[in-house]
Amino acid sequence: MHNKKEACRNFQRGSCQYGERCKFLHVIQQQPKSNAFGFGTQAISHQQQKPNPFGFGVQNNAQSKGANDFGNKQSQFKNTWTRSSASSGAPSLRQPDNQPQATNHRCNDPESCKRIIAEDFEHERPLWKLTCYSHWKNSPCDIVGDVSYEELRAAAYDDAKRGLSLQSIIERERNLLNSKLVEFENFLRNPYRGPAGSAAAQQIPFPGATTIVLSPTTQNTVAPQSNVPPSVSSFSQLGASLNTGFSPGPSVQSNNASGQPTSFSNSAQSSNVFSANNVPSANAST
Amino acid sequence: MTSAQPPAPGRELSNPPTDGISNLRFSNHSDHLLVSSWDKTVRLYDASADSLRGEFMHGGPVLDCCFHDDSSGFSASADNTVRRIVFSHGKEDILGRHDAPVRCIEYSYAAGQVITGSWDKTLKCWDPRGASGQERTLVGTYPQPERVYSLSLVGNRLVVATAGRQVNVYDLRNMSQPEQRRESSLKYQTRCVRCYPNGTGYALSSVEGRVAMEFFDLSEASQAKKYAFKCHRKSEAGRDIVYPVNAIAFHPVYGTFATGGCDGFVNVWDGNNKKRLYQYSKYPTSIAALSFSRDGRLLAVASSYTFEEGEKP
Repeated sequence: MHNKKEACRNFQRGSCQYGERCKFLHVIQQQPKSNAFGFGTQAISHQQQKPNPFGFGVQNNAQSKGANDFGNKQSQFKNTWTRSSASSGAPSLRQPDNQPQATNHRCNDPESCKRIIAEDFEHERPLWKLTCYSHWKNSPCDIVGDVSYEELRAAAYDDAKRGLSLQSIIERERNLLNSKLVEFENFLRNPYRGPAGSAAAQQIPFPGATTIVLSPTTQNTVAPQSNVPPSVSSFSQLGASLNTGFSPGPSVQSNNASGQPTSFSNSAQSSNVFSANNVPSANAST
Repeated sequence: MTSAQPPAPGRELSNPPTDGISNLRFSNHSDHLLVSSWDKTVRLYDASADSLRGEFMHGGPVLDCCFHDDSSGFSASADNTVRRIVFSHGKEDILGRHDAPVRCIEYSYAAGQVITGSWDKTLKCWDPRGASGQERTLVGTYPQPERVYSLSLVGNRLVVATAGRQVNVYDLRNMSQPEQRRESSLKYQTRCVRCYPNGTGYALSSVEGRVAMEFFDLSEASQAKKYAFKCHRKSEAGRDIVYPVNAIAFHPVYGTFATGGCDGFVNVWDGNNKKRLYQYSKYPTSIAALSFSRDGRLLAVASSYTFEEGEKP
């Protein structure tokens, strides 16, 4: 063994070519992940002899282990696309209270939770909008009322069989989408909720979700909020201030369905539910 | 549908369904492929020979299908029925019903039972050996917290993913209550759950372009191994377009896995080394389902519109 003092950074990244000859110390700060798929584990000592041929090596950050996604893991995949949004605020916020299971997230710091939510909505809105959402992994949903595409499709097929015109099916879907987008907007504005106890209250309103699927919801303004009172009201400590955060009805209405234009794919098909029928003016509800 | 030998281009099977494909499966005994579709049929193909061996009509769109053995299979339909199909006779009979469309179906060789999950928030187990008729075949009904979106079996374990990001893990030998109840470690709606072939855990994918790798063992050491990664995203104008990951399939021999998303790409990953191994060139539309053949030589890819943008004329 050489007299090494400093840790070898390449080795920790798994790409040191010198092996034993290396001038720097080959230490592993942490137990490497053993083979999840049962091919034979690599004991720690092996790592010191030969660097991992795939270049993955060990993780040098203790907290990135259980930490999940969001920036840390991203760099370890050789993906051909690059991610421009770093969501840099989020990982550092999470690490302090990040246990491997992370089941005990309490929204003690509403500001940081709000930041997490804002980042998520800014950078990672999925293409499929009719989804539930939780701002913390392993926590119960903040926004409930999940609809899968198969359910939407089954409902559309049923409607068509009953003789509903294509246009009215599209209308119904668009209403559903709008009320969901409104829910997300409201959540973004009033995400604060107290300790986990109040989260339990909003697990209940699933019946609301199924009725939304099968019958057209009334359009915007106050109506969608009355459809989903539990999820919205349990956030805002002020209760009555629901309407203040809500963007004025007409702007959402005329916006048809397009929310954030970049999240939807091209609006080539004009009667596509999720793209604007008219000229995509599309900025109002963001 | 194509086969995955990199030098040759993918081979598309003839006589595909006339509407979207909901799921496809390879048999455990041969290269037969069972395909369920929104056109209300279940089709049986011989993938190597590229021939359609049977077509079975149902009363409503078929949302899932699975093999029993090479002579029969089961299907789950949106007309709330669970059916058994005997391929050679072209006959099918109804094994039982749910109160809402049946979303997923699996056959457990370990338990000798058919397991179905439905949007009526229940899981039901059926014994296919008896005569048909619900009284004789239904083994048990197990309520779920929410509508069932996906399920997967390995050995004696069953993983059920429902709406609202809940996941239940059951031991088939004791179905009275779940072995584990979890919330998904992803933030959005769950799309698909698949167990690892070695039975140590499962992979879960969501609509937010992420897959989480989880483990059954609740010890600290095992739970420290779990991770999640982003995939099926496209960077455009400074922000990502985030596609749902619709399907996951594990290679039965190597333990690597393929994921398919609404972006029309199939990626193959090495979960142990956390690398992407390969990406197939883009399919015409969203990937609806994936399945590896029993020896892992073939990968069936179903590409059909999955309704992630609602109704399109």
